[in-house]
Amino acid sequence: MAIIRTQSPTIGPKTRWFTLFLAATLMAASCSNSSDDGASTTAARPDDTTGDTTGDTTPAGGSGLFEPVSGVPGVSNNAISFAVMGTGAANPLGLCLLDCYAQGVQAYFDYRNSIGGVNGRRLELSTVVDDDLVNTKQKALELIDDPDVFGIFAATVFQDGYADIAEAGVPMWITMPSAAAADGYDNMFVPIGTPCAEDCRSHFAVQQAIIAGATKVGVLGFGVSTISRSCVDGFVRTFEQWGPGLGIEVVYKNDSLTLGFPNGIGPEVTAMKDAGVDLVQTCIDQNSVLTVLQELRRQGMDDTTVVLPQGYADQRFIEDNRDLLEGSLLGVFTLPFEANIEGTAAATFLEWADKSDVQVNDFAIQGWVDADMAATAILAAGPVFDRQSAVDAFNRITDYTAGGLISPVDWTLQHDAPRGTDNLPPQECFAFVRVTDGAFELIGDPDKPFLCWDNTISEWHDPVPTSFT
Amino acid sequence: MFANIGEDIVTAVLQGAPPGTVYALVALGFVLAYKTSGVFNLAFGAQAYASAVLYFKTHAEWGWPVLPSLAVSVFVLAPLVGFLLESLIFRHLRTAPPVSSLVVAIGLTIAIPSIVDLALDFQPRNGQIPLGIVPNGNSVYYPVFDLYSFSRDELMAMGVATAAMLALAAMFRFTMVGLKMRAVVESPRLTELNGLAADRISISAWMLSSLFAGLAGVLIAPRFPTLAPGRFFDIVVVAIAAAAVGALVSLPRAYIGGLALGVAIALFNTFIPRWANDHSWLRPMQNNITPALPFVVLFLVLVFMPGLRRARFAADPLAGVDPPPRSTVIPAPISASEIVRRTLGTTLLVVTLIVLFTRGDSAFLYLAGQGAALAVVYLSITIITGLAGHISLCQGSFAAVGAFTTYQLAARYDTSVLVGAVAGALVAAAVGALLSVPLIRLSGVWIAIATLAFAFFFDAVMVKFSWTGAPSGVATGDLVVPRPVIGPWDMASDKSFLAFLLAVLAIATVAVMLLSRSTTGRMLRATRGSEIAAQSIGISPTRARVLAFSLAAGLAGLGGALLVIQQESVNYDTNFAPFAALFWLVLVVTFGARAPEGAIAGAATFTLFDKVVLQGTFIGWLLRSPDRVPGLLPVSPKWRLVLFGLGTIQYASHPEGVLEMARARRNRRRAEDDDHDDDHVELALEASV
Amino acid sequence: MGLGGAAPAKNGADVSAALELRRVYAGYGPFRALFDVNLTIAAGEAVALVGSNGAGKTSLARVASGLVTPSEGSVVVNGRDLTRAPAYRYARAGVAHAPEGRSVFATLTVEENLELSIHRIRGRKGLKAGLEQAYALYPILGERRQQLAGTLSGGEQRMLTMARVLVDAPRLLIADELSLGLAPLMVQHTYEALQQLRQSGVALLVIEQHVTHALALCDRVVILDRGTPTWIGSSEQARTRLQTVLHSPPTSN
Repeated sequence: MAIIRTQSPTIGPKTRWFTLFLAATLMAASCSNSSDDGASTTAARPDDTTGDTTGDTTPAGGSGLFEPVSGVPGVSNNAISFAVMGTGAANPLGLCLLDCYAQGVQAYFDYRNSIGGVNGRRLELSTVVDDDLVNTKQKALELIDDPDVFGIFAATVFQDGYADIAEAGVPMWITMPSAAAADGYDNMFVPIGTPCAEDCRSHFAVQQAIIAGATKVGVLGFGVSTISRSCVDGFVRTFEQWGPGLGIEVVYKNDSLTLGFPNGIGPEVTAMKDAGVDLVQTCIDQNSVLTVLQELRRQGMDDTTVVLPQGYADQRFIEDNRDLLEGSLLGVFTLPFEANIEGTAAATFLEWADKSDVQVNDFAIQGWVDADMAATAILAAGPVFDRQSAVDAFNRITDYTAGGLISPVDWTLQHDAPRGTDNLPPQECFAFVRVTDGAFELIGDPDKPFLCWDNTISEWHDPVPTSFT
Repeated sequence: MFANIGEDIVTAVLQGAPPGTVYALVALGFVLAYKTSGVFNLAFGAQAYASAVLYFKTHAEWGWPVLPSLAVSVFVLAPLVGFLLESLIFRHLRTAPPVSSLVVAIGLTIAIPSIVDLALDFQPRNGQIPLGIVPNGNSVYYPVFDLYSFSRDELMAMGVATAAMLALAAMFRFTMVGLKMRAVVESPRLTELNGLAADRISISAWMLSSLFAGLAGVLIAPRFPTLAPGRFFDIVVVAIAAAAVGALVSLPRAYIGGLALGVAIALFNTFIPRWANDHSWLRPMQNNITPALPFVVLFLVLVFMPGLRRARFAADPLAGVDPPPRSTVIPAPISASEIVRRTLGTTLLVVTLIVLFTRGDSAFLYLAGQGAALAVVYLSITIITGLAGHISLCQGSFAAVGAFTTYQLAARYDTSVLVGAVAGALVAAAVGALLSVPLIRLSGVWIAIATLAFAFFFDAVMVKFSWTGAPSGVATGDLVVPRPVIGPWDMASDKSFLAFLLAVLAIATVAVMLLSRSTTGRMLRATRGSEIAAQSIGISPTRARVLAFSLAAGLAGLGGALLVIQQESVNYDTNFAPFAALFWLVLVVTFGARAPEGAIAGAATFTLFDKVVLQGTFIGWLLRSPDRVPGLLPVSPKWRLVLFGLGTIQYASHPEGVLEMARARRNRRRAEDDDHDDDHVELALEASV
Repeated sequence: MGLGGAAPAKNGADVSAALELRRVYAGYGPFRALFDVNLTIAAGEAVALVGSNGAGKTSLARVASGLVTPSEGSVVVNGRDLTRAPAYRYARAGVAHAPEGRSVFATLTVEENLELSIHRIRGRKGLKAGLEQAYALYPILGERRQQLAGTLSGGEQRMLTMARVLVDAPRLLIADELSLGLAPLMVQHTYEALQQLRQSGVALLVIEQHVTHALALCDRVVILDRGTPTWIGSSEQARTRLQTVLHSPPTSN
């Protein structure tokens, strides 16, 4: 759900751009985790559907059987080809988006190919396309017509053209920041299910306050972005619902900050200081959070904890700014590498990321998850498959976890975005990390890193530590 | 409580000082450039960006120590850029009207950052805040009155700004250097008659102001989370407001204006939210006026400070010495060969369209649709700039008004988008008319700046309102605009809508041409030549201007509506933002703002240049195989900005644009071949806009 | 070709002509203004340049002061060929040009206008003395020293120009329509100043519509018609011809 505002006709010139990447997605993502009845066990779930990889790190059903398939775009006797579309160097915030995402997809393909491929064929990327920030729709239209493309992986800043791709019947796997575009499309897949679109609340925000021992929360967002403002609204709503019982309240809310902080944020931070804010939730981009942190330090608010909007696993970012970021919190929706991941898909990811020299960040992880979904879909469709059958087969899976990397998603339901309490997945699960000494540190039980809340209970309750591996 | 208010005020003042220093620095630089070169150098921010990027590259990426980095980026690159700008570009514009230089500066604002990015292979990286020139510049703080503290970088910037202001003011007051530069600004030729080497003085002036731009860039950079040319341009616009306080010639007042602006904004941001807690009617002000404050100030200063407009400007009495800008040559009455050529051209166009419709893939169809809708917007530029002679930098905002109106009507009242488009055009026309009223007493450059202020104001404020912009809580992707249905003709497919767009474009083109030849058109052209002369023959300049603005705004609004219908969603940021609108102007002006062909060529270039040229599609087509395209293609889209940004340079000598210039050359050649000259050579009174 | 011959030097010491135009062709862009102009002004000589509008007088003045570079031919100032040199070299070689129309910097004050010239010639040290000299010559300038030169009356602006020139002490003064738009008294003042200059050995090239005044001041007259000199002779000869023309019956053409 990243809504990026830019004023450039193309890259370079004025980029008023902020992404709400994980802030909004975390916000919304909490609505999208589906699961079974919330049983909090660590036992591996039994395979109850064919071809899915639930609770297992080795692909169930092996690598499928080979049978000749004709007339399906991107499928030859040797390979199944996909395209990656993303925003590369033109990304004005300097995030490694296209490159890291594509590397994550490729790493998964390499891994998958090393254990036999899919349906007797290799998985490969036939084309990697950079949309240069503003040509998203044009590139999308080109890829639709491309006969060497079975499905499209997309990590772009804007989502123009996504609807065209979906309506053309091309399966598409996208990233969390773009997730709002997936609402209602059966062939568009988001790593943790389509996030909440409206009237959202999320337990994780409150949990972060509890972790930080905070009672007075401040929320920051940019005025020019509707998504930023809704993110702020979401946090406010969250604390209105569950805060009073816990003695936590939002004492400062500002959703009209100017992108880039041309006038600094001195007065805003002073207001937070006056209000006694001890936890700051951010609906702004990563780089701007650094500015906020600098101002907090300047005004002596060293005890105030800041929640990062996104950026898990971006080791370079943390190291470059270790002093500023010390003590900051972050919510993670994939299995944190700081948990006990031995023998899990997370370990596999790290192993293959290392082999291919992948620059690990949250987009690389999402690339891996997306690629796993693609492979799973084809395997689930059986040896004779096409786009629609793969999509349909995958949409029968009710508890997809990408090998334990994410909390289970019920794909029979999660194409429609939750709104308020409608279509809410049964549970909301998150892991929490803190930046300590220039690295991420898991908060909680390394064996049960996820904290899960029961979405059917409307009052606040303590989360249950869970593992999905 | 009251003692607290005192402290709070002081705290706010202190908090406003660092951003205020940034504005002061840029305002100083802007005034310096204006005083020493006579040019409204909007590209000041781009020059600052260039040095900031080089400093970042050398110091942060290559690890050079501070001093060599500083030396190279501020004391070598910056003056070099100034030297090149003066000798290659602005020296030849000395006798051109100020508006021409402004257009060139706009082109440079777009081209220079792209050149820098390409040459230095620069990409911002997240988490790397630009470093300043002082060690530990952003981590060591010094408390002030125990109320606030300043970082080393900030103190450095404040020190440099103050020292620069004093030094420059002293230079102008006590030395001959400033005097010589001012003399050259007024009349280089007269200066030479006084025995002074005008060209050398001009070069030193540009090198000085460019050096300052570089210095400002390096000092400003640490305040931004990442280096982006747009940030620097924003600050230039704000700084103009500060510079305007000093009537553009007083350095100390520009400095104070900048500081005052920063402090005022900090005070606003401190007290309005507090008061808004008790008085909710203030809330809209907090949300909306504060981000737009500089632009409001700029607009008010322009409208209400008469001293500014009558700032010391005197025409160069010896301007005629240099060959005057080429006059407009109105083409000869259609001769046979011209008819043949036009037929060929039209046939080619028709053939291209047929190919497009039958064999064009969806990407091309989409781009063609974009181009057609944008062409309608660009036609509005031919009205306001080509016909009426004003530079309007807010056409993007007018287009956005049309777009949003269409969306709102369709979303709320389920109106047909076509009706909505017409309504959007009308609303935009009304906005244009309203805007032009306070601008009545402005002229030339000031109109351009006022429209720029409005564009930024719109961008900062209007877009956020749910009744003008996107409703809150709705993701961009959800701003769905449906395609129209006329009778049995459902235009859901790109092809059918393209046909519709082309029809609308054709009608609009004909309308604009008719307007141009009509009495109204002549009236607008008359006021372009000389408002006083026009008044003397009974034309009301006020009415002409209001009419021009409303027509142009209406057409832009229509174009904007068509654009969002074509895209089936409203995406303000990629389509209508102020910076995008600058590039529109550049394109239209390069091709020729006086004829519809310029608008159409510009729109085609904007949408298709990337795909057809830069990505090698054309070469691939020529070579019959996309695989044989040379390895260095596709080229970065930034080249488009570079090429066309630099294309404005020829604007001053050829204000009629590339297309008309080519046609004039053909006509001249034909006239020279003929023995009798029956061409109309209209030495246009309005040789340049 | 005896038309353009050099007049004998006044003081035998300096023999080179103040200005020589040899076979000069010049124009602006595609427009030709001067054709085959040959003119020599000896040191200390005063030459009047007359002709109808559009004859090319101003163009000739601009070529003589270096503002316009000839497309063919050469311009020699005090024996040095400055044909391709920029105008400021001419000024430094002693050619002072008071152009037609406004010849002062409107956006600078009176004092600043003077400072520009004086500083260049006499340096910082001579500035004060130079200014005093100028104000002594024209007290009214002294009264208006901080006023913007653009707000001065036409006559005052000419005074300012003359002050600059007088302090300058050039070798050749090109005065283009100096009396244009001036009241008769001012015109008289102006020509007195020019006379003074002549007496101090400054050569003059005077472009004038008021033929009578020019004739009174100058030794020779050049008539320019459509870009080329059609008649060059002494003032005496010119006066005689004028009388003849004025008093002869109208001819049939």
